[in-house]
Amino acid sequence: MSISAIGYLIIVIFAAILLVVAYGIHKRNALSNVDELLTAGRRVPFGFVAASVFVAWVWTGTIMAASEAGVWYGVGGGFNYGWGAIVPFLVFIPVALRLRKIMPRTTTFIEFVRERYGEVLANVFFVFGVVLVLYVCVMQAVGIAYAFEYAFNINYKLIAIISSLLFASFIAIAGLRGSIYNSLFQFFIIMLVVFITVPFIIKEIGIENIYNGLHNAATNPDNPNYNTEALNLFGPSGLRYGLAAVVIAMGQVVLSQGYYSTAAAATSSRNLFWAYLVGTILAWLPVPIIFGNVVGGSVFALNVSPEDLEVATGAAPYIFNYFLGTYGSIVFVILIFMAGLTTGGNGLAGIQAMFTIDFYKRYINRLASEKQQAQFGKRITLLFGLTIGIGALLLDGVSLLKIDIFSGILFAAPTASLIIGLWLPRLNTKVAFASMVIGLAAGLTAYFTINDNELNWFVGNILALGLPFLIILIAIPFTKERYNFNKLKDYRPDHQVEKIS
Amino acid sequence: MMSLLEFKIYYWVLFLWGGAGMLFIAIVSIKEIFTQVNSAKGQKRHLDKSFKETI
Repeated sequence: MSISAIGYLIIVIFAAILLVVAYGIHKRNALSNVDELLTAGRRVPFGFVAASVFVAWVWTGTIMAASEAGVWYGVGGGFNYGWGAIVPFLVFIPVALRLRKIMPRTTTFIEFVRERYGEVLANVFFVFGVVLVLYVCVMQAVGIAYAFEYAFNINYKLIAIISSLLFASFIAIAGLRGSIYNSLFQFFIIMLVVFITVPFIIKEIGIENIYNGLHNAATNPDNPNYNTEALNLFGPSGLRYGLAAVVIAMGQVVLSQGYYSTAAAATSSRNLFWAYLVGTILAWLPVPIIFGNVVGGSVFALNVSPEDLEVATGAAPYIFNYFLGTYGSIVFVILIFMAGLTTGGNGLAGIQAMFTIDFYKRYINRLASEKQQAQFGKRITLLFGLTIGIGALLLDGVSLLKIDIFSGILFAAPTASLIIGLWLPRLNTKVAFASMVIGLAAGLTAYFTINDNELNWFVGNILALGLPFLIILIAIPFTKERYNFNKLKDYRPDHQVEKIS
Repeated sequence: MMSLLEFKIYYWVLFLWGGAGMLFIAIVSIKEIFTQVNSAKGQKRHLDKSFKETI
């Protein structure tokens, strides 16, 4: 069998499994009911939520970029990528718990923003939320397409379109419940790949050889990967990378409706808390650190320079292929495929929720029945699947790292007004809006005007996240309004919500 | 700079930590799958019984 045929076979097998599962879920559940479609009836148990959060945060980038960080920063690369990407969840968990407590019948964070700040700001957040999901999903499609092209020599454009349509059809057919079941299935595959394949790579190369490679890179100026911080977990450049990861990931988590939908689906607040904590800190955090160490460490041990890897993000497939041959390439592609499908599915479940609740009935058909709302949500998901595929086609050959850094500036700015607005009654709409605009403008200005390419993205990201918090905290003592959070308890969405705990 | 021993311990800790986390989720979710399957079977049996009684 040719290598391309293996690639096509992988796609066909997984597509068949996913679509059969989706059809089964569709048949067994009342998915014309809005709450069932968007929050799985708010009855999802702890283990399913934990697995779903875990795989939703395992992006294609988690594996590729953490490995890349291992190449650039040595032992501190994966570590700094990991803690940087986990901090936003330490913010998100209290946000989701607070939202559930003060507004128990909400599904989307846009519903909260509408009640708290009014229609205009809700629409602004809606646009940010939709663009964020588009960006996240396009990145997954690009990652999957690159992996298939690299390993199986299959046409990039074809895979970009197929993978986008695959996760879109799955979510359109099976809703959030589909996303969660899909995540559970793929959680087991990712677990097997990580804990069977990675130890094989370590056994092949030898842990002492990895250490010696890093030690040589840290002490020998003639080494092509010479880096005095290669064996230092807390080196300054690595820590700066970690801090940037916090900013970049903050908006990607706090503005991602998929995480709010999964949080709303949890059976209770207690389950939500433990599932998010276990899914992220206990299960997710070691994964990028392991990939950073093993892939980055192997590159050091082999004495391959980043330039030899074509692009540094090619480090992970290179190492899998080098030590495990064709089997390694297949396993790596399956890993990336699973990671991309689950993250894309989770994002699209969020899009489905936002368009069904915050758009269709409000702007298109005020008299829509729940069945019509659910139908619209499914169609829009498919449309977005196609849009994501086209977006991925346009990004062929574009630097993903640049897009990722730019996205940090774009999505970090609105987080302060959302987070602080959940707790402080004195924050009003004008200050919230001003903080977003100023934060975004400052971040973009820094990015485009600072000439140092090593500094502009970092300052831009820090300003976009930090300045809105600063503006709000300075302005709050001067505001007169007192928002009454109690009225949110009585909030009733346009669809029926059966169970809240 | 890390010594070889520290480096080995670090690797072991990472694998034990990640392994424990994933295994915990795996065990709990398998248990939940069985609970859901049993509950669905119970409901079906209950429905069949009620149907027979009605007839």
